[in-house]
Amino acid sequence: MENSGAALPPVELASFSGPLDLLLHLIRVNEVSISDIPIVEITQQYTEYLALMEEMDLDLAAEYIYLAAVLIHIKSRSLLPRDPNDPEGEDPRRELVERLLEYEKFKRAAETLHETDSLRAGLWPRPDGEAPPGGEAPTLEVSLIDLVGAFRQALDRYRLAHPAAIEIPKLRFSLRDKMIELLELLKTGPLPMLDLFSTFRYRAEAITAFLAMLELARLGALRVFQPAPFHEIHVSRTEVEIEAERIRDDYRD
Amino acid sequence: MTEEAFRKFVPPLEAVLFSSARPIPEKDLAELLEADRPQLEAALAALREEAERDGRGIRLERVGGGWRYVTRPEFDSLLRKFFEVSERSRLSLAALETLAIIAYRQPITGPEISELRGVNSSGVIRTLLEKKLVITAGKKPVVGTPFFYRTTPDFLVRFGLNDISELPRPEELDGDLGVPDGAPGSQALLPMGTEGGEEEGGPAAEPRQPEESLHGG
Repeated sequence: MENSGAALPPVELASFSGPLDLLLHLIRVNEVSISDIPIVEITQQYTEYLALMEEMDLDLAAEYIYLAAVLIHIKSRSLLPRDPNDPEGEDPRRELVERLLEYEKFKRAAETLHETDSLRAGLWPRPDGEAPPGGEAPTLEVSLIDLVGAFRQALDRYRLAHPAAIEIPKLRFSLRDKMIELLELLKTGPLPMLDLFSTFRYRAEAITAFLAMLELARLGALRVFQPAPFHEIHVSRTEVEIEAERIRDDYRD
Repeated sequence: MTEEAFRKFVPPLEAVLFSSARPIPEKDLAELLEADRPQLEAALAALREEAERDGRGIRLERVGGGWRYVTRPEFDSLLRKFFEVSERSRLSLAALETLAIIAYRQPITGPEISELRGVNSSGVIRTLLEKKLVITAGKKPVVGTPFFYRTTPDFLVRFGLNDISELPRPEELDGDLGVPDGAPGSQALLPMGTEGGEEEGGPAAEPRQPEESLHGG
């Protein structure tokens, strides 16, 4: 790796694209060969780096810690005495070396792509605007991503058109209206009180109606009675007539 | 090229190329102009020659398997000023790495990419999908049926390629890989042999038969 004069991306602590990238960086700055990594030193530097990153509160991905474990495992294996029957043995670093070599190739390819991209960024094509006026709009290939994007837009638009929090106006029932309504309902004759109240949909409405019933009873316009012992309570009008007009005048909102 | 043929093909060709934002494949141009291949190639060569002259602000490039006009690089800052763009969005290191892996090993799945990079890559892949540099290409019939990814025509255009086979071969990439022959790491990045390994493929490439696209599917 003596020939490391190639333009390296500036190294910042947070700028490693992954644990292999960090390891490769350590190999480069130590000017050692990938195929002959001094595992003890590199492992130590790697773990020091991790400690530093942790200190800086960088969110350490599990992969970094995994590679630290791999390095420590290789280190421990390389410290074991060689099998006397198999002096060549398998280099415990072999698998890691293969991965690193593979990774490094793509890293180089990425650097080349980056250079090309920077150069070509200076070439401006005609802006990809609307199709010229007239004629049929060109059909374009639509990818899954486009579809999902369009769907998300549709959802956003829907959300805009249908705000989540719909204000429900408070239902108001007035004593005055209920009084008039009760008198109207009872025009045809007495009714069981339960039947009468089961026509109301809202609690507040029933309460208002009950108050209206009490009020009308107080005025003598309604009679509340039981036809027989243990019978249902009935309500009926009396001879006392109260004009709706009067109720409207006397009971204001 | 005769005077007559020149008049017949060159001005309309220029008009069409001038009007289009996307590179136009030679096949489409030939059909549109009702020209045969030698006629089209002669017309393209005439336009190129014209555009390569000193004192021009644009040039004709062959990219993404087609032809288009682009501005010359020396006018980059001028155009930035005109369009009021400060900086083009750059791809991150991780995105470039992932893009390189997809480009050289396509089709490839997310888990395979993460394995090569030693780090979870799903977020980066999503970025590349959003930038339309890669696209899904079916699912791999293994456990979890992960998506296959490949590069898009936009990728070719952005990186000045006509075909994926024009990607630089590993040995053309900078520096000494330090890999002895036959070592496990010397396996080619490109799994598809040497097909299409012609001369340069940059904007200066000569008109030639369109190569069969690897992005067909």
